[in-house]
Amino acid sequence: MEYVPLDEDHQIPEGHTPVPAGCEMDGLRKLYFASGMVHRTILDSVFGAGKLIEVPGKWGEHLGGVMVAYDEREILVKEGGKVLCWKKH
Amino acid sequence: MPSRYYSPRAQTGNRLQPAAEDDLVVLEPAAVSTRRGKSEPFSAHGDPPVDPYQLDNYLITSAEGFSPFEQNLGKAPFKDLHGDDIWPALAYTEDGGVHPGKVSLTFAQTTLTFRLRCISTLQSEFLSAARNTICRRTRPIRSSFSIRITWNMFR
Repeated sequence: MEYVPLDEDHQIPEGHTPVPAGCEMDGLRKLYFASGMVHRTILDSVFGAGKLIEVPGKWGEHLGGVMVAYDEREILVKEGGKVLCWKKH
Repeated sequence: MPSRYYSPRAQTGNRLQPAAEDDLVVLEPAAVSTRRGKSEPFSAHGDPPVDPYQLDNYLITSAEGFSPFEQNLGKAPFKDLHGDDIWPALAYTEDGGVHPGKVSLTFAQTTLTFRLRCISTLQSEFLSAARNTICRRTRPIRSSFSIRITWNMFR
């Protein structure tokens, strides 16, 4: 397995197969293991400073990015998200 | 976190409800089903799986009798703000969904986002194969979790 960066449209680059990890309640909208970079603290996010931290979360085609749980909040990461994919051999 | 603990069985028949205004919910272990991965022991040095592209081969399923947090889980793929180990995980929600999230070895809880909330559950399934991690199962210990062997598919 390997984490593959999402493209500009928040989709998986062609040729990669994501590792299925779940689904929404309708069973149709699939969810996958993913990760996103978030600011370590609220102050960092306000001032755009400080180091980022990588947090595991979920991705689906319908989410518009990677959703992570951090600091007891749901954060939608729209840039720099990665999705866990089966590694090519 | 006793002030946030919520017993869904006692009040709503296993349905999730916010425990406090901060929307953090802690489930009783029996409130969610987490028997997805296989439960039999597996040696980290054994044969590779028949189907290497089957996620269940790489999940550590929680159950009674074992604690994955006290096993040799190898190097954690993620760290939290304080440098503590974080693993990818998934958990079931009461509406039938299955949501990927994370599990903290410090608090032994899986946290995921669901309906714009952060939800924590005491049960979890680890994704242990990510990032070249090897997990080993040891003898049972007193805990409410179990661990399942997996291996590094990149070896």
